[in-house]
Amino acid sequence: MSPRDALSYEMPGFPLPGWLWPEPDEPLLDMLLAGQPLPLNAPQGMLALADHLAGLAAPADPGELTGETAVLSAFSRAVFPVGTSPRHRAQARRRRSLTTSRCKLGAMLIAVLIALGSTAAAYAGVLPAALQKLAHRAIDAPAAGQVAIGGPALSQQAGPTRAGPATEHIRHAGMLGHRDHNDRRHLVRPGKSAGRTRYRGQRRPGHGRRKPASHADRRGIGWLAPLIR
Amino acid sequence: MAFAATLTRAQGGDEAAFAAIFRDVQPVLLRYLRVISPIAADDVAGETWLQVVAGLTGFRGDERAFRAWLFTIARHRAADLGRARARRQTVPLESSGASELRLSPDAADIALEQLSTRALMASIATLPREQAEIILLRVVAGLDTSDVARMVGKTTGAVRVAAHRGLRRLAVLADRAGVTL
Repeated sequence: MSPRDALSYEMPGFPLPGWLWPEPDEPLLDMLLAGQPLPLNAPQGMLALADHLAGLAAPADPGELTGETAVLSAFSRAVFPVGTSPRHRAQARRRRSLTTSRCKLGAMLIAVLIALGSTAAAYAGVLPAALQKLAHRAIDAPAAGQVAIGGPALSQQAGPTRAGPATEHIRHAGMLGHRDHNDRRHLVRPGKSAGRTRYRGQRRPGHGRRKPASHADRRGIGWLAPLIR
Repeated sequence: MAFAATLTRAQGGDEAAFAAIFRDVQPVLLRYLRVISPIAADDVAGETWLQVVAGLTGFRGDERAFRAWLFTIARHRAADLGRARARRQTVPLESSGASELRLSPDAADIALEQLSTRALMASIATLPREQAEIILLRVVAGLDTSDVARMVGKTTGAVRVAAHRGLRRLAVLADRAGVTL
């Protein structure tokens, strides 16, 4: 490498004619190319060059944006074919915006419906076992094998499969089936409520004369009966 | 992230977004073309943007890839225009007033009296074309070595060596101009 040639008499006293400073090392040049700041002990020419190279990437001078109008016109023609009026363009923009909004609304609605449906299915206990278990943990839905209201009792118990309400009553009376030692109902005398001893004729505490059920009440109870049976 | 969002809007037909991209890239494109194709820099820039508009919706990539794509188009348009002009024109360059890429030594010295951005561009124009183009693509366009190597058809090592040689020469010219911090 040699700079633009200075003759030896033009630079008296310089050790190497034509050389202004030791050859820059490659890391400094790589830093120049990458736009990184140079160390302060870099050669002066390199420091000056770095300063001006940074100016090459500066924002536009006023004269450097000429042609913008023509380019944007070409862009508009590419987006909107020749013959469309500004009003049509505005309408097209509004339609695009509306379509986008409708798509978003539709997607949200579908997501909400799926969430509601999944929640209902979880509480009805009809999800696959793994999902039901997850729902049980996340939203306190019935665990797999259980149902909250109205369905057949599916709770796991030691002993034979429960056959029905009548059988259930007889079991409680202690006359059928396996007695679980943890089940205290077998301690109750047949025919009596669990945990209470009453004498003939004694009313239950709080069991007073009931007000005759009104028509509305009867209707209300009648409505609930299938659910609580 | 900001460029990605702007590009997506421009691809969707947003004129304001495309204008923002134009204002960001056009200055560096012109500075590059004023060295590579000094006679018709504005024409080449216009044709470059026309081709960018035509292919915008099909473009996929980040800002770096977009600049690489745009400057590749610019290089090809400049080469096409140069070939077309060479076929048409028979007037000697001196009488046509067309400037050569490599300025005469006297003109280079004059340009160095006051080193400014324009003077630096003139200094870059004094370099061999390969070195000038690589420095402009690396420094002005902001492309990395691999992108530039792909564009000019050389290895990354060759690009790095050419850039270093050009920078060393520019550093000498800058020092001779007497510019200090």
